[in-house]
Amino acid sequence: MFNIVGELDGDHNARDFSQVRQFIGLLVEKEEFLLPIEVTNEIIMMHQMTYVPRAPKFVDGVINLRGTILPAINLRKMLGNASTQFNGQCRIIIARCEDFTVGLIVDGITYVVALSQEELQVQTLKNKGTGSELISMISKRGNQINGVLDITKIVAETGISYHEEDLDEDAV
Amino acid sequence: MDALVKATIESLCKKTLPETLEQLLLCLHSGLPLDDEDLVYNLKEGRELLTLLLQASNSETTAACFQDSASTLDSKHERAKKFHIDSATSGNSRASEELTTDLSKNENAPLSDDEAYALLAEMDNMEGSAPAPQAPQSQSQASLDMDEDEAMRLLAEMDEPVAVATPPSVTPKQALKQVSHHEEEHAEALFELDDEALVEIPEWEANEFQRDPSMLNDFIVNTDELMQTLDETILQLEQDPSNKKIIEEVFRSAHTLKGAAGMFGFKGIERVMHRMENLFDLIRKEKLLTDSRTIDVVFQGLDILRTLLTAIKDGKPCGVATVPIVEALGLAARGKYAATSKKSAAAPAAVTPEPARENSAPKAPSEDDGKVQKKKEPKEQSTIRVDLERLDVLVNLVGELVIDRSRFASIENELRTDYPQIKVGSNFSETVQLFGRHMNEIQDIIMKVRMVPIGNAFNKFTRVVRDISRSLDKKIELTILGEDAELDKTMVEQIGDPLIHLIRNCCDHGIEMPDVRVEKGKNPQGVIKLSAAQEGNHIAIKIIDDGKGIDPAVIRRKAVEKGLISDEAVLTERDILNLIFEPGFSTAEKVTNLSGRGVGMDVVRRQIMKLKGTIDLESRLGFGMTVTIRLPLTLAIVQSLLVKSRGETFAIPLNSVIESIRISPKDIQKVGDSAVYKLRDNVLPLVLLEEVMSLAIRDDQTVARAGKSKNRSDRLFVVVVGHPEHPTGIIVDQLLNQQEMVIKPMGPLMRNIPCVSGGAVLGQGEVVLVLDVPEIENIGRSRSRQSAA
Repeated sequence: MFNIVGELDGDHNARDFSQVRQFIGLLVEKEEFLLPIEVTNEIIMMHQMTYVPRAPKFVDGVINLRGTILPAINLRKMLGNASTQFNGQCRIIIARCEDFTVGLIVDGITYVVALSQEELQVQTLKNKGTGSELISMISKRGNQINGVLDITKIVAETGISYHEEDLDEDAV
Repeated sequence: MDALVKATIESLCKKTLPETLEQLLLCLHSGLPLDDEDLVYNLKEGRELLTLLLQASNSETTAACFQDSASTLDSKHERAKKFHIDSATSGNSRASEELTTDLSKNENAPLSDDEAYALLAEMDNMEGSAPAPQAPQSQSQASLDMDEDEAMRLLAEMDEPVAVATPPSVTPKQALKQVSHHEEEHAEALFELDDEALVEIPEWEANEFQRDPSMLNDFIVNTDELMQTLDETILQLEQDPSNKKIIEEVFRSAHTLKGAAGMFGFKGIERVMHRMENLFDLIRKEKLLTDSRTIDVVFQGLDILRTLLTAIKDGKPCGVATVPIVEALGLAARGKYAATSKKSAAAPAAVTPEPARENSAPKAPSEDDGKVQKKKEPKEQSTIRVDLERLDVLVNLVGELVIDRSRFASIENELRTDYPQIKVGSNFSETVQLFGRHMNEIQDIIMKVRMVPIGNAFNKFTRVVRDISRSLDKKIELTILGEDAELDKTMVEQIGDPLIHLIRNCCDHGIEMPDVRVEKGKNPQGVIKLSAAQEGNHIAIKIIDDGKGIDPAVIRRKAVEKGLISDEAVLTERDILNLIFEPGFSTAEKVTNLSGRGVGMDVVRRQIMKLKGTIDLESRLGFGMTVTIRLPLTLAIVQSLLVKSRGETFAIPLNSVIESIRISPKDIQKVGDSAVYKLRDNVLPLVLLEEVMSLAIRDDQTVARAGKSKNRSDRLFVVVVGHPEHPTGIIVDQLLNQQEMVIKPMGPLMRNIPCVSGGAVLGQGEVVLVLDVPEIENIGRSRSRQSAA
């Protein structure tokens, strides 16, 4: 039911997996980003969402994940200017950040990739475009270059409690 | 010698010899003709064992010694038997309770006594040497000599007055002489014991049990239970001192506690408990009469124990001196109380103020005892202790299953109605229905699992009332009704403090002094009735006293004095009574250690509000008052009103909803910036839910303010919430229904959402936000204040 598109690294069995890190490829708009697999709990279908007034920035609402109420952060809003409606490809990635769990709304899931240390480069891109401040690493796979998202930065971006002024801006 | 044979012989010796000894002692002390067959059997047994030993052992002399003793024993036994017949005929065989009288009585027949002692000594000789038959010959003789001392010691153990008096080397005859002075020595003995008790011992003694956290935890939980049992049973004992069953129960609990404390090396507890156990033992054997003074000392002991136990929970010794209480208990055991109060007052441990011992109030009249007795014995329960966290997980999972069930049902329905071409079959439908029914049952039971009888919280009040009534010199009886009513465990834990406060208030302010009561033609003994009963989804706890009640006029005067209300304010009687819940209000003329500081009722109401309950007062001036507390059965499930505003659903906890009304927009009046509505002579500030929740902004529409006609409908729904005295109206678009729901926290990210206290998952899996009524009230109030300025 999770509809993971693409291969699950099936043809790379020969590689030494202790040296690699795995990432989930996700789509925001048409752009692919990666998210470390350690922080992801699961991927669920788009869910009935409850709007929360005066919620932190980019938090679309709350969802019910088997009895636990989680905030859902709209990555599409955060990384682009997504005003388009959710479509059938939309998923919610349930991710852990420190000791709490959030849902990340994305436009789609591509596949799980395994990358070695050589294929990763620690790189922050400050103010180099929308969403670039959320990226902590760059991955290089052949010609393909993707940003690796940092969950703590995503959560910080929503401006929880300690960013009072953000709250007010959002509310007005 | 075969080790196995040896071991068997030894164990047999150990079994037979003390038995024989006991029987001999019995016949010696009671003078009753004893069961000869038993004695003969035992003696024969002993002899056979000796023969066996003889065969096994190489030591000729020892064997000869044994042989000698055995034959002497036999002959002595014959003589002993004769003596008993003699004494029986001479009328000396009167049975009596005190060992000492027995001994002095037996002095009349010194010869026989001597013999009896010798016989006993002989027996002990055997006992002493039998387990060590292979001892070298030379030592064997010595050990026989030594065994005389051993015999005396053994005798002493069974006969305490002789015990202390007998130096190791005295012969039985000397011992007998000393017995005649037993009176002084008895006292001396006790004095010596007390001397030892006066030495302060270390509170703890580390051992491996103590270091094991899970063992320690078990100990703490168990002792908590035991302490509670002790408290309850001792109170029962006071009411009914002659009831054997109760004292046995007290004794058992005390003994278990002592044993456990000893095992864990908590020497302080062990010692206090030991003394208490001694006292209970005397009561049990009817050597000591229970009266309120004894019970007072015991309660002091329990208070000290509680302090010690708290120290264990905190993980460090508290340094409470156990000497005073040990001494007090020792004195109590001798029936002396005069000095007790001063000494125990020095002990810093008393949790509740202890009344002075000297002017002990007379015990409650006996006609009331019957009522307490009627309280039925706690039913035998077999229980299992479960971690509350684990239980919560289970409750949550069941909640999930309930949601799944409703999904199943809707899928089944869909299949049947929308896809007639698919044969669903009755089997499937039946299963879904059955599943639903089972789910309902499971849900019911799982909710009951958390429930405990409220009696757990009530029982300690008997003690509280007793202590207070004694310290105030009032006569108060507490009757408890409906302790079986069940309530969520966390609620039972949290309702205790407010209830204690209310009961103290009843004792202090409500019930009058006995002479005043007599003047008013009431029974000098005041009655406080504490009752609990289930009323639908709520539990109603009532505290009814037959004291003087509250005079609304006095409350009003006080409130005006303290500036809580203005002089000309028009208030109903109920409103006035409710003023006592205002912070800083107190009617007590002077501050006592029980009440009068004016913080109490305010705190009580706050705590009850926290438990989503309500509190109500009712007073009959001169005839007492009734406090009614209504609590929801559980905090996990909250009855809520679902409302809709701009397409979003919100839940308002029903316990804060007063009423819902329909008003016409043209009746809304504007005071400055805020909208108000005149509801039955009261001005009701209004807030617009969609405005509070910024729903209009989301919809990118112009903000429509309350009071302006919105052409939406000619009637508006207003939910009146908050405190009955100063309610707030929330304007909503639609009232949906009333539903039970489980309120859940929304996690750290969503903690600071204004006006939202949490989320709840509804039957279909959707989340609704639960409104934070106090916050909404604040918005309404701050508006009206602004406009007033």
